[in-house]
This record gives sequence, structure tokens and C-alpha cells, in this order.
Amino acid sequence: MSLRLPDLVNPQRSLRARFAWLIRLSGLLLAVLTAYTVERLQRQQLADMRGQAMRREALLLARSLDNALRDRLAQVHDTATQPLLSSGLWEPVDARMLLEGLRSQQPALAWLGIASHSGRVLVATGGQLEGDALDSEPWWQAARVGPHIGVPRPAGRLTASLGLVDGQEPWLLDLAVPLVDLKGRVTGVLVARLRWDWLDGLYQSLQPPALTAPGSQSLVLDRDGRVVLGPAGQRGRPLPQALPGSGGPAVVLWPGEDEQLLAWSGSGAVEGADAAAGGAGLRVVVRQPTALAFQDAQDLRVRLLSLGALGTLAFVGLSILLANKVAQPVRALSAAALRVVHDRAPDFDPVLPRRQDEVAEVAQALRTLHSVMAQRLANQQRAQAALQDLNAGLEKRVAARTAELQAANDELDAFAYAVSHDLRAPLRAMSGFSQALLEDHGPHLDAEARGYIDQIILASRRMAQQIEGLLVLSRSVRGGLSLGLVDLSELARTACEDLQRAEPERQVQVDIAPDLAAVGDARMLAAVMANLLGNAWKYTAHQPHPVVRVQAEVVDGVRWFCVSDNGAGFDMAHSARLFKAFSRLHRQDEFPGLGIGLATVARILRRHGGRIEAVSAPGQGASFRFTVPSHPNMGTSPTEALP
Amino acid sequence: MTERVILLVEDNPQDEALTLRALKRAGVANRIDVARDGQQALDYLFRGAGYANRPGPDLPTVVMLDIGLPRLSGLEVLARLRADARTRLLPVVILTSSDEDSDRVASYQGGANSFVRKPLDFGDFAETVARLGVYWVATNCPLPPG
Repeated sequence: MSLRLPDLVNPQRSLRARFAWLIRLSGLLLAVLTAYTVERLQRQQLADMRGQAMRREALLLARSLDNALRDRLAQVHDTATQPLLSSGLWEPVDARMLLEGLRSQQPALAWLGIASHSGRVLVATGGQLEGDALDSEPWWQAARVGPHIGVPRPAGRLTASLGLVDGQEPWLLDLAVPLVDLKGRVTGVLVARLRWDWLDGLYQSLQPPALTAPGSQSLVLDRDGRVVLGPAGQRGRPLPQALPGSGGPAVVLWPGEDEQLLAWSGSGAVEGADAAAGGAGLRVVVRQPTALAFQDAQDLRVRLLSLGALGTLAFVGLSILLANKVAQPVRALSAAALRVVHDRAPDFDPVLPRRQDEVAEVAQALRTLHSVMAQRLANQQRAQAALQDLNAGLEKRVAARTAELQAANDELDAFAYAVSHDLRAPLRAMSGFSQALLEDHGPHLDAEARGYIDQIILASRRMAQQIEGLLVLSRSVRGGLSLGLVDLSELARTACEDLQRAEPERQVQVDIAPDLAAVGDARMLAAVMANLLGNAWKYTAHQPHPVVRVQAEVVDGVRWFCVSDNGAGFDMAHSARLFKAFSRLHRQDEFPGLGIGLATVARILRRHGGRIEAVSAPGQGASFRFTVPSHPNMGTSPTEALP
Repeated sequence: MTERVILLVEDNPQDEALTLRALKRAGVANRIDVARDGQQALDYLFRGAGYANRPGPDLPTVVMLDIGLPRLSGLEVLARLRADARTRLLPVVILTSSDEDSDRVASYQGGANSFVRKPLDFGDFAETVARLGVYWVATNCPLPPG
């Protein structure tokens, strides 16, 4: 199999291939669309799913953190409600001991202090910050009303006692609970400063295992939307965009980072707790890079695309294979069939060994077709050859016959000439010796004997004239035609002049149309005119007003030359004998003649390819009309026999 | 005056007889020798076989020559005569039954002095022959001898 595309899949060669390619490309496009659609759906589903999970995670974390803070706040609250402090009758030493006790019990608390109603720190753990005014703290007013959790803030002057955390100034969260005396009056505020790194530790410990959601991170925001807990690098920064209240999920483009899928807890760590207990207001946002969150969708898309591509490839391959499988035997078939072009019989057997499918059917049909066509062709060729042979034979026979006929005619002419020529000597002898007998021995013969001799002489003379006529007839058609433009009018005039000279006493009205031209042998056509006019002259002898006319007329597109007279005419019943030699329609004593003239005329005209007709009635004159074709038969010898 | 002889070359005895009779009746008393074919005519003229010691003059006054002759045709005889210095100027009259144009042309081209067609009618024939004889032996002046 050659490397080039088979015609059935080559769009340049096959219309079907174009459709096939269109379908293949559509399939591929469909696969791509499907892949992306499915991915989108999958992403949406994953986003929902992951979003819910992340939200749950966020809620859980938020609640845990909140609970932890609440617990701490509760401890502080418990301390604040101890009778010692609520009574308002505490001594600084006792109060400090109490605070120190709580602090040692709860190491997460970095500092505890009691502020007066006006905000001055009256007593504090370690005596730190005593005397400081807290009324400028943002939470101060709120804390005098109820327990309050502040916002994380740097440790400030407490840093020295706390030490650096990760080389940074530690952060603290203010927990404030009002001190209320037995009469319900706020006497001061118990302030505890919670170590933020403690909460951070809690936060760290609450991180879900990485396996459950790869790349997933949780961020804790304070009321201001600042990240207060979270992976390194995120703290202290605001979220790239404000979060709606619904809790997500949302896809957010994180500056400097990958696209992230977000879910978050509600605006309060625990809904409803904020307002009542003045919660920390922490929000937890769980994020995961979409690349990881939607990994499955992407994988699915890739799988679908691969499958589509693979499917298309497989389809193309299969179609090429199939097309080849179909095309190859068909091509071989056409090659085998085209052997006919080189005059060889189509040979399908080596091409289609043991096949019985449609291709074999086509092969069988081609074979049958070829054999039928070959048979027909052979028949046709045979018939043609036979026809050609027949034609050749016919032509040969015609040529042979023509030659024979011509030879026979020539021989006949020669014979007629020789006979008439050779007859002359004995005839001359007969008449000569009869004459001699009469002259030399006339006196010794009686009248009867002399009469007999006269008859011999008369017969001899007549025979001599007939021989003369035969010679004329024979000579009129011997030799080739010397064709030229002949003026029949002039020939007619000459003939009439000759006749007039021979019989000067005759008064004949001669009308000859001018310029009657024909193509022919001048000598022979002169004989024709002389004979026809001679007859007209002769047969008008008994007319008181003889008229002879020579003219032309066109009948049915054929030009006829016409010689007519108003003479004796003849009976048309005998017209068949008119043009036969020695055949006469009149008695010798009426109109003497040999019966050679019209036979001569007819033979001459036939040699010219023309013909002659006569119309007459007894006493009504006669009209002879003849044709001389413009292109007479060019034969050099007559092919017709003597009439 | 030398004798004037006519040589008649004629194969047909009847024509010969009629010719001789016509000449005689026309009063031609000259001697008339007859040759029956072309070869005999040549023998006569050149004193060949059978004519070595023939009497009379060397050459006849006129030769009346038929065309259709046995052995040598009249035209061949004419050619021989015209090819020979002795007979180059000898008067030869073609007297024939032929009225073929070709014969007439060939005769004149061959050097015939005259071409006469034997008329079919005996009366015409006799008259023609008589006139011929009288003309050539009496009217026509031959070449001076030598």
C-alpha cells in the first residue's frame, strides 16, 4: 500500500472523502465542546461540592476558634464575677494574686489587669502597665457595657515580658469584661490580653490534613477583613475583594497567586453570638487553588479530549483502512479491466482470489460485459471484413466486367468497322462485274437478264450505302471524347447551310435560337445536329410551308435542346424502334434512308451522358429533344453495346 | 521516249481486274505491272528476287499502292521507298478502301503524292481509276531521267 492518501479519503480526489472529513472534524469539534461543557458542569459541581465542604470547614474552624475565645472570655468573666472583684472591696494585692492565679492557670493569657471606671489600670499581672489609661482603647466603651472581644493588636510594651514570637512582635487580643458590683453598677473593667500566638497554635492544630483537600488553606479575618490568621505571607493583608454574605463558593483571582476557589463562614463566627456577647467577629475563609480544586474536572476534560482525539484518529485510521480495503480491490479491478485498452483480455483471477463479495460481482459483470462486447466486436469485425471482401470482390468484378465489356465493345466496334470495310471489296466486285457484264455483254443479254443485272447493281448500291452508314455509326463513337464548349446554334446553322446547298430549291423556314451552348465533343455534336436537322429537312419535304426549329427548354430543372419540324411525323406506337440501327418508320419510296442516323445520334448522346426523346404524331411533325449534361461521362470509350 | 509503266500493288484479284478494266476502257494503253503484296512490290522496284531481269524501265511512272496488303503493308512499302535514294521521289498514289483519317495522315506524312479512296460504287470507281491513270501517265510530267 502506497503512502499517499487513498482516493477515498483524499478530499482532493473524492467528494465522499470531503464529507468524511467534514464529519470527522465535526466529531472532533463535538468532542472538544463536550469536553469543555462537561468540564464546566463538573467544575460547577465540584465548586458546589468543594464549596460546601470548605464552607463547613470554615464554619467548623470559625466555631472552634470562637469557642476557644469564648471559653477564654468565660474564664475572664468568671474571674470578674468572683465576689472579691464584684464586691468592689478588693485590695490590689488580692486582686493581683487572683489575676496571677488565673494567668498561671491559663497561660494563653499574657496579661490581666483591672481598669478603673475611668479606664486607668489599677492592678495588673506582674504590675505591668499599671497606671496606664485604657479609655482610649476602641473597645473601652463597649467593654463597660458587656464582655467584649477586641481585635488583635501588637503587644506593645508587653513585648519585653512576652518575648518575640518567630522574631516578631507578638500580638495580643483584648478580652474585656465589666466589673459589676452587687448593685449592678459597673465599677471597672477586667481586661485580659490573650496571646495571639496561642490562638494561632489552636488555628494551626485545627488545619485539616493536607490529603483531604490538597492546596487548601484557611484564612481567618478580623472584623475589618484583615487576615489575622493564615499561612505566612497572608497575615495583615486584606482579601483581594469583599466577600458577599452568602458564604460562597466563589472563584477569586488572588493577586500574585493562582485563581482560588473560596468558601467562608458567615459574617459572625457564630451567627447571633456577635451581637449578644460581643464575639471576636472572626471570619474564616477557606480557599483552594482552582487548579487543584477542579483537578478532576480538568482531568475529565483532558480525558474526554484525548478520547475524542483518539476516537477521531481511530475513525480516520479505520476509514483509511476500510477505504483502502474497499478501494484496493476496486483499483486492482479497474487496472485489470483497463488491460482491455492494450488489447488484452481483462484478467480478474489474480486480483481477486477467492472473493465472493460485491467486488467479485462487479468483476464478474465486467468479465461478462467484456466477453459480450468482444464477441460483438468480433462479429462486427468479421461482418465488416466480409463486407470489405465482398466490396473488394464486387469492385474487382465490376472492374473486370467493365474491362471485359469495354474490350467487347471495342472488339465489336472494330469488328463492325472491319466487317463493313472488308465487305466493300466484294461488294465493289459484285457491282463492278455486274456493270462490266452489262457493258461488255449487254447486247447478248435479253431484257430480262439485263433487268436482273440491274437489280444486282441496285442491291449492291443499297448495300454499299448501308455499309457506309455502318461505318459512320461505328466511327461516330470510336475514339475518346474531346470535350469543350460547343455552340449548338452554330452547329445547327452550319448543318442547315449544308442542307440548303445540297437542295437549293427547297424553301424551308429555319428558326435557330441563339447561343445554345453545351459541353461536349464538337465533332460528335455536329453529327448529332446534322442528323437531326437532316431528318427534319427530309421529312418536311412534302410540306407546303416547312418549318424547322432549334431551341432550348428547361423541364424540371433539366435543360433540353429541341429540334422540331412540322413534317410527316410518325406514330408514337413505333417510337421504341426509332433509335435502333437500320430500323425505319417510313417506306423507302416515301422517305429514303438507311435507318442509321438516329441510332448514331442516340449513341453519341449516350456517350455524353445525355439522352434523347421524341414526340410526334403522323402528319403533326416531330420533335426531338435531347440533353447534354454539363459534366458528361468522361469515359474514353462507350460502355453500351451497339443498339 | 521511255516507256511509261504503272505498277499496281493490289492483293484483291477482283479489284485488280476491275482496275485494269477501267484503265483499259479509259484508253490507258500503257503497260501495267501488278504486284500482289508489299514484298513483291519492293522486289519489283529494286529488281529483287524474281524481278532481276524484268523488262521495261528501271522504275514505273507511278505506283498505285493499296494499304491493306499481305506481308508488308502499303505504308511500310511507302516508308521503304522514301528511305531509298533511288525511289525517294517516285510518285506513289495510295489507292485504298480505307477512309480512316489516320491512314490518310500516315500516308501523306510517309511521303505519298496522292491519296485516293476507292469508291464503293463501281461506276464511280471506274471513273476515278480512269482519271488517275490518265493523269499520271499522260497529264503529269515526270522527273527528267537521270
